[in-house]
Amino acid sequence: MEDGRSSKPTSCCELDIRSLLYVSLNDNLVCPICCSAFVDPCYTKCGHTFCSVCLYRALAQAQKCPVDRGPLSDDDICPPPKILSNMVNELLVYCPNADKGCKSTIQRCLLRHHLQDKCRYTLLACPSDECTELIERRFVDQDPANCFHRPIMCPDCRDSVAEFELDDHKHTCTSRSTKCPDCSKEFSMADIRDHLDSCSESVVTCPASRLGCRWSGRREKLDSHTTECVLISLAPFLEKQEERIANLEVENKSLRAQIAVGGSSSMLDNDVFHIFTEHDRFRSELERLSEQLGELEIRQSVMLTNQTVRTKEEIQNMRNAVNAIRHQMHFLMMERRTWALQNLATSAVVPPGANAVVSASSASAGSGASGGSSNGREEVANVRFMRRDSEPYRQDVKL
Amino acid sequence: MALPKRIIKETERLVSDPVPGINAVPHEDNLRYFDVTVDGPSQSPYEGGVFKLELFLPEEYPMVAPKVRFLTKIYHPNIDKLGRICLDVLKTNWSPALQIRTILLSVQALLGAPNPDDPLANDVAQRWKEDERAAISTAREWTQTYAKQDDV
Repeated sequence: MEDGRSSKPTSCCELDIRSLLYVSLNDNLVCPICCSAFVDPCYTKCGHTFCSVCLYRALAQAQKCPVDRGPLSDDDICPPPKILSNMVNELLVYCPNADKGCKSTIQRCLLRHHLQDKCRYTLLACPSDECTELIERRFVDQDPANCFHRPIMCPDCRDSVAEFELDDHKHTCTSRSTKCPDCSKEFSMADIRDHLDSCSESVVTCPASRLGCRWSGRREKLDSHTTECVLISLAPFLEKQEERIANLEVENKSLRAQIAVGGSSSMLDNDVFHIFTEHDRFRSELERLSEQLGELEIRQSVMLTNQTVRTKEEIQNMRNAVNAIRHQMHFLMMERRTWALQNLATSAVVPPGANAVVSASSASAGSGASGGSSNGREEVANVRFMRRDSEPYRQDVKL
Repeated sequence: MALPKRIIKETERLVSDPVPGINAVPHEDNLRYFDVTVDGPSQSPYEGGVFKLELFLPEEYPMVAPKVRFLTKIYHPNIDKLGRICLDVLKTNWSPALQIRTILLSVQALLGAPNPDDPLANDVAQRWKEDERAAISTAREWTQTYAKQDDV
C-alpha cells in the first residue's frame, strides 16, 4: 500500500493466499509445513504432498522428506494429480475485504479476479488527477470523476470531513440533530437514542405481548393498560410455569436418553433382563446341541457306509467262495460219475468183499422193492463203496 | 516481520485444543516466545511435578527448530544444569512438519524415557548407569523440591 501512494497504482491487491480465511477446510488439504491449504502443491516420490514453496525451502535446509525423514532431492518431486490442484483451487474463501464489509465467498482461484474487477471494497486510485490517495471502488462507481478526499464541512458540527467519510460521520456526529418520528421534536444524535426509549408519543406494545396480549398504543397510555391487563398480573405465575415446563422438558430429555442408552437401568427391567439372559443361554445351548447332533449324524452315516461297504465286500467274497466251492463240487460230481460209470463197466471183475455187500443189501431191500429199481440200488451201493474208499475212517458218513 | 500464519494457527490450536499435561502460552509482547509448563509423565520419577520451560520460535521457524529450555531444575541425564535439552528432534532430526505441540510431547516423552547413553549432563548420566535406583530417587527428590505445583 505504501507503494500505491508514490506510484499511483490502478488497483491494490497484493494477495497473500496463506492468510486467507477458508469457509471450510479438509485437514487432508493442509500443507504440513505452512499449515494452510496447499498453494501450488507438489508431490514427493515417498507419497507426501506439500506446497512447492514450502518444500523447496525445507529441502534447502535438509535433503530429506519433512514427514518421513527419508532422503529426498529436487529430482524426486513431481506435480500432483490434477484433481488435487483442482480441489485446492476450488476451495471457498472469504473475501479479504470482509472486515470492510464485503460478504462474498469465492473460489480461491477466482479471488484475484474478484478483487481486481468486482469487489466494491478494493482500494483503487482516486479518480481525480491531483489526488494520490486510494479510494474504495464503491465510491468510484458512484461518481467516476470526483475526488472523494476533498474535505467537506459537516453541516452540523462544522468539522472538515473527507467526502467519502461523510456517510459514516453522519451516524456519529454528535452535533447533528434529528427529528423524533413520533413526537416530531428535534434531538441531537447523541440524545435521540435515549429519547426513543422514553418518548411518550411513541407506539409501544404491552409488556405481556409475549403471553398473548394484543394491546398496543402510546407510551403514555401504557400505565393505565398495565393496571387492567390480566396477562400482566398473570405474568409471574405463567413465567414460573414456563420455567417448570422447561425444567421438566430437560429432565424428560435426559430420561429418554437414559432409556435409549441403558434400557435396563430401572428395577423393573431386572427380571426381564434375567429372563433374557437365561433365554440367550438356552438358545446358545440349543444351538450347541443341535450342532453336536448334526456332527454325530454325519459321523454315524459315515460309519454306516463304511460298514456297509465292508459287509458288501465280505458278501461278495463269500459268494465268490461259494461259487468256487460249487464249481469244485460240480467238478467232483462229474469226476465221480465218470468214475462210477467206469466202475459199472468193470463190474464183471468185482472184488469178493464188495460183491458180498452188494448181494446182502439187494437181499434186504429185495422184499419191498420191484425188480426195476435194482439198477439204482446198485448205483447207491457203489457210491457208498466209493465213499468208504476215500474216507475209510468215517463209517457213518451219508450223503 | 509479520507473524507467519502458521504460528498464529499453532497458537490458536494450542489454546483451543490443548495437549493434556502441556500448557503453552505466548507472551503478549512477543508472540514468538512461549511460557510452557509440562507435567511429569506418570510412572516416571518426575510424576507429580510441573516443569516450567521456555520456548522460542526463531525467525526461520518452521525451517529451523524452536529453541526449548527447562527453567525448572531437573535431575535428568539428557538435560543439563542450564536446562538445555539433548533431544534429536530439537537438533538434527528437526523437520518443518513438526509443530510446537509435537516438540513438547517429545520433551514430555523424554522425561518418561531418560537415555543415559546419549548424555548431556555427564555426572547425572554416569550415576544413572552405575546406580539407577539411587539416581531415580534423586530425580524424585528434585521433583518434590523444585517442581511442585505450588512453586510454579
